[in-house]
Amino acid sequence: MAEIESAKRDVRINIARDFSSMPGPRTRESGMFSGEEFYEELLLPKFRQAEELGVKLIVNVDGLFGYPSSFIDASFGRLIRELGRATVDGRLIIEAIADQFALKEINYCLETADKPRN
Amino acid sequence: MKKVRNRLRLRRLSDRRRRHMERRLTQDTEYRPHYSYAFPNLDRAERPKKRSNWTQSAIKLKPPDDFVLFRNPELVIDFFKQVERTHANGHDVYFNLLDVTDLTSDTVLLMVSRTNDERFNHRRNVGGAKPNNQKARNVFEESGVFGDKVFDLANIRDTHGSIDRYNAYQVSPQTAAKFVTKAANFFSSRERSAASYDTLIELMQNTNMHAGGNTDSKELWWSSVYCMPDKALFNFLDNGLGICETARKRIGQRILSALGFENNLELLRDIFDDKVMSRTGKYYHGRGLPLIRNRSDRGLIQNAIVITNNVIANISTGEYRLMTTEFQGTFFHWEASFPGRAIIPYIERAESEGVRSDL
Repeated sequence: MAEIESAKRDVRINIARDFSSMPGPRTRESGMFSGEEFYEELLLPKFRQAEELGVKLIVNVDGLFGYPSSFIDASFGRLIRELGRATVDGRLIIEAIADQFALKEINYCLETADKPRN
Repeated sequence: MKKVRNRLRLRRLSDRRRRHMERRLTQDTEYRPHYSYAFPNLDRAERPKKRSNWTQSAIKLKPPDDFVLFRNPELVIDFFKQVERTHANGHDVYFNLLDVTDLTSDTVLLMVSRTNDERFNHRRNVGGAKPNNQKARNVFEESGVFGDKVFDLANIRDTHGSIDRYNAYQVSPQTAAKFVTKAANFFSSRERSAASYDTLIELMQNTNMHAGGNTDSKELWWSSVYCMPDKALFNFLDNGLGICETARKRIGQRILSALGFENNLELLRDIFDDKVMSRTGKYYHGRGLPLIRNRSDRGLIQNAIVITNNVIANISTGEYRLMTTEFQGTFFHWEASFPGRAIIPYIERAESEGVRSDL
């Protein structure tokens, strides 16, 4: 029962509805609908809100034209790098119901977001 | 009666003006009246006046009959080098394309980008005769290169029919969305359409960040999609430094030689294998090109070919080859020929966002 109540209070973002269905480049300087813009305008404020409320942040990624690595890294990857993986893990849930393949693309970028290459 | 007619005409005119301004506002590029890509730094009055009979004094050059860049790279690149040399010597150039038997949108894209770049055209006129071959002629006409017998490459119009083309300095998600929507019939799944969208964004991003080298100036990218009856061809190019040259500038020639990178072939292979770090020096940058290879390995994009500096590589088959000539810039080509229309539920949303408004 408590779990259902908590789920009701979870903070949600639907990227296609709340931001754009056309994810763009890494930085604002490079073009519209950038990962930087998404991070600063939506992802970080909502994550802070979820932290304050002690609930999860659920980000729905269905219905996007694509999942460019530069957009994913500049938003979700930056969140991991700046707040730390321990803070983000468990609090941030990425949800894809129709576009299951998107999770594979996003997880690949997120796994390597804070790991320097050899 | 006259008054009413005038009022109606006025309303029609203001509607047209409003629609025009709305279109401008939804575009991501800056509105530049009378802008010329051929002479970006010159005002309209300062641009060289076009002589009506320039074709008579122009040097006539004949391209290879198989005028397809990704299939016949050396001859096509050498032809464009010859064009540039002729311009540099102060001559206009007249392309004799009458005998061309095969022409695809990639070569037209290269032709349009080079002839609209001041570094290549040296402010000279470029035009020519259209091919006799009907198929090649259709590609030409749908590319917006107009004119009945003689065309003028510095004054191209918008594309129509099965071809779409766009150019910009910045990353344009709208263009990528528009292109994959146009080619939706050849993806059969959303994963494949997303792969082409991602590839376009990564390439635009690379041009925007790296193609200009260490200078602040940005390079212009050109991209097109050509929907043939059985497949869609995607082309992307910029006239910048090229991938290998950019990497050499970042890492340094000495270090590269010490690491065993004597030629660009091994260097390009390692860039696509994710073994070379980005020019920015940040470990989390530079994943775009390896991911393009990854998508090609997974079969999401087909026949992916890159031509840059003196290397041509078929990413899909893993064949890398040094060319006998040097290509300035980066050219990417890939195809999608998966039978069946991708179920793209976001097409409806895209329409409401204005993406398909000018398809």
